[in-house]
Amino acid sequence: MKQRQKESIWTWLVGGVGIGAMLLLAGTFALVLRGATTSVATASPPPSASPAVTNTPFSDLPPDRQTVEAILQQTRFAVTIPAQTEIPSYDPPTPIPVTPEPWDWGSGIIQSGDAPFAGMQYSISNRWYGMVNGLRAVVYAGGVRDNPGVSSDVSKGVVIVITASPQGEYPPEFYLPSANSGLFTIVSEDDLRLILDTPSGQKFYFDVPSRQFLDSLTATPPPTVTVIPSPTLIPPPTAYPLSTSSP
Amino acid sequence: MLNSNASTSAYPPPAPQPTPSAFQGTHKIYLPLIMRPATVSRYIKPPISGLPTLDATKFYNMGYYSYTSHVGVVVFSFGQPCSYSSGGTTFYGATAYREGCRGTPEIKTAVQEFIRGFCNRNGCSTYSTSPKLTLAVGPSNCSNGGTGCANPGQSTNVTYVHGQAWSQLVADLINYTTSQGYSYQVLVVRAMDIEFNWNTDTNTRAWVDGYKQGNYRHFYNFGTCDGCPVDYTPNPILPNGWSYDDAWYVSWGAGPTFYPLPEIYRTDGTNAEQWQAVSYYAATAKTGKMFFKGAFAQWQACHDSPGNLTECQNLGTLNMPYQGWSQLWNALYNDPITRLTSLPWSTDITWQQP
Repeated sequence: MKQRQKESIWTWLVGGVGIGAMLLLAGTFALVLRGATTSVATASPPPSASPAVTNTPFSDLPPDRQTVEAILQQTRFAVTIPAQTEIPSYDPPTPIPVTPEPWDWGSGIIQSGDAPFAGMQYSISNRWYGMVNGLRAVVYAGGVRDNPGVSSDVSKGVVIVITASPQGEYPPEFYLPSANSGLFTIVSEDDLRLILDTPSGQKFYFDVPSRQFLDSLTATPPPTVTVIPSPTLIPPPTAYPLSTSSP
Repeated sequence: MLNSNASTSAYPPPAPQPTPSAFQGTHKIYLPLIMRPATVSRYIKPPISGLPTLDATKFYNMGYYSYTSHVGVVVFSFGQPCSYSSGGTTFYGATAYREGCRGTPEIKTAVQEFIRGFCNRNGCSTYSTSPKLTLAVGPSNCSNGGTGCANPGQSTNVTYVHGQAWSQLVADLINYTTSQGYSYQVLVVRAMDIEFNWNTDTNTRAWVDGYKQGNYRHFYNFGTCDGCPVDYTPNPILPNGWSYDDAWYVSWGAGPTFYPLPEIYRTDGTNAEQWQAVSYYAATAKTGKMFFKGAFAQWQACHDSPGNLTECQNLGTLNMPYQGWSQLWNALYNDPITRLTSLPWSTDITWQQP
């Protein structure tokens, strides 16, 4: 009997251990699976890859920022006047009379890199302003960055021309030399020809009326390439192209 | 140059579609968000056909007629900080990319007219449910003179006192919206186009610190992370003495109202990766990851000029707004340390001045 009892106990023990092991294996397998699914989940961006429409503070902002956001929301509306009952019609300000300035605004060089172009892709040295064929002109000199946003290196110079008639301003025109020049800097102007210095010391010459790089200050620009500014001013907004796939 | 036939039907740009794999094996549930098209931000530059002054009527018209494109965040980029003296008083302002200096009183009047135009058309009021505008008004950190703006050690208006003056300008604009009952629909925030090539970290931090002295109001850095590596690298060598810590400080660390709204121009995702690395730095070396307000593109500015479009194409800086947004979202999402649950906005800058 005792022997039978021992065998029975051993049978139960072995069976129990076996079941336990199986459960352990199953649990481990489940955890592995869960881990795999988790890694899939974390590797995939959420499906809603588009800007949210709400303007509410982030719910998971750090606590100090959530507090500040709440305070700002309250103070923002601290003083309000009664709501408008009807929307006013077109009501622009009364224009302030201004003394018309002479159309000819002279000429000169401004030593500033301040320019309405993406600093990530252009490095601007300075600019010249003057009159060209009756149009006001501003000519920026600088360079195109080799690796935008990453490196400050400039292999190619750039000349950017903006002109305007009394009716308005034309879109900027961009001119690059055929060979690598390095960064351009305007050092002087002679009869509407800009003398451009480069880091290597090589001089370039840009004829503003013809929008041509010349070999020398006295060279004659080719007569057939005279650029006439576009008859249209800055164009209306361009629609984004339709995309058939996710970016 | 432009395909006018495709003008309106293609706008807004289509939302990226969910991919099936995003639903497989996930134990999280992501609620679908509603697509918002990119807003129109602007270089504020009076055309050279006229005076360099800011025309309040044009600003009013801009707000009145194009109000639908201003739902979300709109950035007005005013260019280099400047100053001038008049009657024994020093005035601070920005160049608006022209000669001279547009003082903060002139900028204030112009921006107020933009807001008034927006609200006259949009019906801003306490009870209105009409769309909301967040208007970010900012100069750049461009120094006076020198190649690419940068002129370290020489004259600059990127200073503590200029930061204070700009802070007061925005505070005045906020008071205007409140006093007119516009504040439910219009929120004015401070901003700056901070680019490392344009000034030193010291000058820029000083400007930001001057800025902080005002009331708690939002500040958005809509600049670049110039020279930053695409993968996090400790102590990278950046232009003009900048560091990850500086980038973090002027975008996030300076105070609880500071947020990045970075330029994501490059089509290869480099800019997004650069900013993800800054957020990684913030998460691992500072107090936590950064929360971004959105992505800033220049697709329309590239198209405003045929010559510029060519260069944008050659240089690979022609991200459409939703591409820039998606790149930033994905770059941040792909690392659990920098992952966000929200990236609210997408905006696109233009040269156009209505």
